Parts: sequence; structure tokens; C-alpha cells
Amino acid sequence: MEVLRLENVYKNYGKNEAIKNLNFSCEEEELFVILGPSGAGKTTTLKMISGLEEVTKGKIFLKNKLVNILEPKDRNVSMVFEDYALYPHLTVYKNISSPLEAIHLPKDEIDKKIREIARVLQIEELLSRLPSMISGGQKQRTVLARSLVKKANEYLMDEPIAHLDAKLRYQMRGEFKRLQHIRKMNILYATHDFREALSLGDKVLILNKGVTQQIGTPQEIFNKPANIFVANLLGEPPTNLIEGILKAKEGQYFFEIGNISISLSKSLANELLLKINQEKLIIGIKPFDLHCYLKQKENAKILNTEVYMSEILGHYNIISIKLGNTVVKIREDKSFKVSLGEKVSVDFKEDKLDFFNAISGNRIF
Amino acid sequence: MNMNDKKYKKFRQREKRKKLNSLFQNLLLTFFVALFGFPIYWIFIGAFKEKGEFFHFPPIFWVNNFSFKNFTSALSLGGSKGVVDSLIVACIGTVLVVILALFAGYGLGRFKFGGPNLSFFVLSLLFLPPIIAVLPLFIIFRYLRIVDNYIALIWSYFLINLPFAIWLIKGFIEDLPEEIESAALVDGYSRFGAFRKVTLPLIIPGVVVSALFVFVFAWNEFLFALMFTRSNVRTLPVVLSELIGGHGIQWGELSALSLIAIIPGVILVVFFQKYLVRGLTFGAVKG
Repeated sequence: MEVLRLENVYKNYGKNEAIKNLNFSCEEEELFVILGPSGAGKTTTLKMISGLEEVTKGKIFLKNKLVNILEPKDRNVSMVFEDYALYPHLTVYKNISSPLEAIHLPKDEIDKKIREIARVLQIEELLSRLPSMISGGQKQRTVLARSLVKKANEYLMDEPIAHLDAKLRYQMRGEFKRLQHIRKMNILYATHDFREALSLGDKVLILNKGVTQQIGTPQEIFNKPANIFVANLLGEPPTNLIEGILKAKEGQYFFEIGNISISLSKSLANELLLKINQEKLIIGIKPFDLHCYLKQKENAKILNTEVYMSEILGHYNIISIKLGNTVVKIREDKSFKVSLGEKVSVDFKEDKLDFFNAISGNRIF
Repeated sequence: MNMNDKKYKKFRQREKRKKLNSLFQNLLLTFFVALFGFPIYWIFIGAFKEKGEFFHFPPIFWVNNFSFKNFTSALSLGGSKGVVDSLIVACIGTVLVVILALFAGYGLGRFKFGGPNLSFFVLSLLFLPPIIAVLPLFIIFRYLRIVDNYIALIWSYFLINLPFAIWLIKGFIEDLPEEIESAALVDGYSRFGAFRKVTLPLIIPGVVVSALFVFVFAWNEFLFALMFTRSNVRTLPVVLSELIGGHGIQWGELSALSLIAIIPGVILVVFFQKYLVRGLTFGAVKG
């Protein structure tokens, strides 16, 4: 069943358009992620759903009820703020009890619910402390407890783990997924971190400058990015985007990047020619779909190129080569060692390539 | 003489200078404490002195015969009415100002109501010398038939103190992260509920300081009290001024009543000291 739906939602701050024509819907027990860089409009979207910001144009439905003009308290949503927003003058216990007190639950029931959520989030021993007396990770758990303690239509999470250190963030990501699964919650999760989006999300919406770039499952988004913005946002390192020209010579097709040409199969070229009306295009290939060979590999797509940079990153190495003006990154096994300036050949499978329109940046196929 | 001796000598000189400096500082501090403290001390002992001791030469710096006669006499000479009237005017005025300043400060600070111009207009009222308002207010009050009425005094104190209180509370509201309040709204509280649960407890220092200022102002105020009251309402400063008569000054009663007048201020400052420091230095350290 559909829990949340946004229809043609716009938000303007004066002349500045923060959100442009946003449309999406969240199902029950779904973890829906909004992924985008800072300034994309993630927080604004969450605030509009919670009722903290007004909608300039468009409709927001919660459980099929139009909520545009409802006060936050009448929407029954719950929100985790990026910088926690704990009440500094109240103890952890009182912070968590706040949403339950607001709906006038009996004291013993409040107590029961707090003890339960505190046990799940392992903050039982902190209940009597003030927010200033607990660490960042503990604050994050407290704010999560405050949000989860009440039964809400939708749980809105605005970068809830962005301020934690890398190790804790990784740990919380796992716990988050588990918690959502056990408690069967409807969560709308905003983040700028593609790892969080891909690992947590049942569905991911990618937002840039208030405009939706793509909506899909993590697999769809990762495997078939809708445009170069999405391709550039995902992966560590992100997809290589190489601009070049499609050329035909003596019945053979090539993709020319500066003075380097890469041969393309006839079938692929024909397919491309059907869909484009210009020879300039951008190809995208993920760093782990490229393979580096020290010796000259026969039939390799790129022969005899120089290593531009080599980075050791523990469990893998990143080798960079230069094609035209573009630095292309290749993810190789940690056992693969090359030094700067060494000659290598690089190969890839054609079906791993993504093609984008060089002008609009949109995916061709 | 070797290097070490030289160094040692320098060190000794420096130490000597330090000691002299600190002695000088202490002397200076003692002088100023005495300068400001002496009148209070003089009032204090004066309140317990007998009549004859005031005009003794050389002056008596201590009380030889402790008596409370000055207090009883001062209170019967209108002092008790002065205390009661001052309390009525100061308390009601303070409560009214604080309540209105809370809402006005919240509106200006949180919603930027009226843009920057309105809040600066509010601040500009602070620079209005009270005496400018005396005549127009007197005319208004006369038409309303509230001269020599508590309402006249409360109203004028309200007018003079409101801008300052609004400005102070507005500053505190602006310092408070909006998200904390947003969190309360999403938790399920109304705007007023969130204000009561979260905002108010967090701006208490501002509320206390503005209340203190208003109270002390109303308690000490002389000009309006003299102009707007006759016999029905007589606040302490007016009663005190009347003890300085054409035929002579009633030093004993004056001292006793002054001592009574000092008490509320001292009590308030002692009780609310921790808020006072935070309230008076607000805005000095942001971050």
C-alpha cells in the first residue's frame, strides 16, 4: 500500500527554485532514499513532508490524505534532523518521551515504550543523562530513539549518520537496515553518501538542484545511470566518463578520444547510429569493468598506454591512465603493481559500456 | 659578576615590580570599594542611629545606641504605603512587560516579522529619553482620568521598558537553533506547545534579566511617579523625596527607608546571579 505520495511538488524561496516538479511515492515497509549532493533539496523535501515548510505548488499525500495545509502535529510523521536537535535541557529519557507526551499517553505506557526502544538501541544506561553528557554516537542513537518510539506514518531521516566517524557510520548503517526490517517501518532517508543509498535503499531517488535525475532500485541506478550526473555520483571512484567521437573508417567503427581510437563492434555501432544524430558522445565505464595488463595483450582495446598515477588503497589499487584529456581510473586487485610511466594495455567488454548524449548528458543506452 | 648573578638580579627586580604592581592594584581597588561602599554603609548605620548622633562632630562612624525607631517612624510617615505601591507597580509592570516581550520577541526573532526595519524601530524606541514622553502621557492620562492611578504608572513603565525587553528576548530566540523547535513540532506539539516545552526553558536567562531590569527600573523610577501621582498612589522614591522637606531633612527616616528600598534589588541579584551574567553578556560570545 502507498504511504506517501508527492505530486508535482515545487518549492520556491523568493525567486530561487529549490524543488522543481518532484514526483515520487513510497510504499509500506519501504526504505526510500533521496540521494543528492548538498544543496540538492533533500532537507527541503523532508521538511515539506513533515509540514515544517510550506509547499509552493503541488500536492503531498500521506496515506491517501492530502496534507498540504495540515500542521506538523497533525501529520503523524517523525523526523531525525541532521544535527540531532536534541532538547539540551531535558534528559535522554525526557527527550525520548517527548513525542509520546505530546499525544498524552499514560505514564506507565510511555515508560514501557522508552525502556523497549532504549534496549533495542542500547542506550539504557544513558537515560538519566543530559545530551551534553553523551558522545556523538550516543546522541545519534538518542535522536533515533526519539523518532522511532512513536508509531508514525512515515519516518523521515535527514542525513542521520552523516556526522558520525567512518567506523561508527559503517556500523550504524548495518544496524539501521536491520532495525527497519525488524520494526517494519516506512522510512524516507536523505543522504549525500551513495554507499548509504545503495546499501540501505529499497528504492533510490537521485536529486540535483531540486530536479529529479532518476528513480529506481539501487541495482537499476547503479547499472543503468540515467545521465552523467548519476553516473558521476555513484561508485568509488565514480564511473569514468570519456568524451569522444564515433567514426567510421573502411567499414570499421571507432571511438576517437583525442588521438587514441578504440574499435567498436559493428552491431554496437549500428545500434548507436540509430539512436544518435551527432557523432560526439560520452561513454561511461566503471573502474572495475576495466582491466589492466602489464604485457601487451592481444586484441586489447587500448594498447601501450602510460600509467599516469597509481594509488594503493589497501584491498585494491587504483591505476590511472590518460585518454585524451580525461584521466581514466581502473580498479585493480591489490596484487597488481605498476609504477608511474610504465606501459600497460587496457581492456574491457563492450556490453559494460554506457553511452550518454554529449550535450544533454542523458543516457542513450 | 657572572651571567647567572645578572639574571638572578633581573629576576629579583621583576618579582619586586610584580609585588609593587599588585600592591598598587589592591590599593586602587580598596579605594574604589570604599568610595562606592561608604554611602551604603552610611545609610546602613544611619538607619539605626538616634537623632542626636547625626549632627555630632566629629562624625560618629558607628552606631552607639541601636534603635529601630527610624524604621517605625519612616513606615508611619508614608513609607509602608510607598513599599506596597512600589511593589504593586513594579510587579504588575514586570509581569506585563515580560509576557508581551516574550511573544513580540518570538515573532520578531523567529519569523522575522516586519523585516529588519520593524525590529530596529523597536530598538530605536529605547533611545527615547523618558522625559520627552512625560507631557504627552500626562495629557493622555488626564483625559482617561487615570492620573494618580496605578494604571498610569504601570502603563508608562510598560512603555519605557518594552523595547529593551523585546530586543533582549529576540536576541535569545535568534540564538536558539530553529531545529530544536522544529523537532518539537514534529514530535506533535503545537507552535505554542513547542514554545512552552522547548523555547521558554532555554531562554530563561533572557526572561530573568529583562524581568530584573524592568522591576528595578519601576522600583527606582522617580520622574513619572512624581508627575503622574498625587495622594492615591505614592511609590517609594516619591515618599523618600518627601522626607527632604523645607524645614529640614529627616536623616534617620530617610536612611531607614532607603535601606528598605535597597533590599529587593539585593535579593533579586543574589538569587538570579547565574542568569544575570549569561543575560548581560549575551551576544558577546557567539558560536
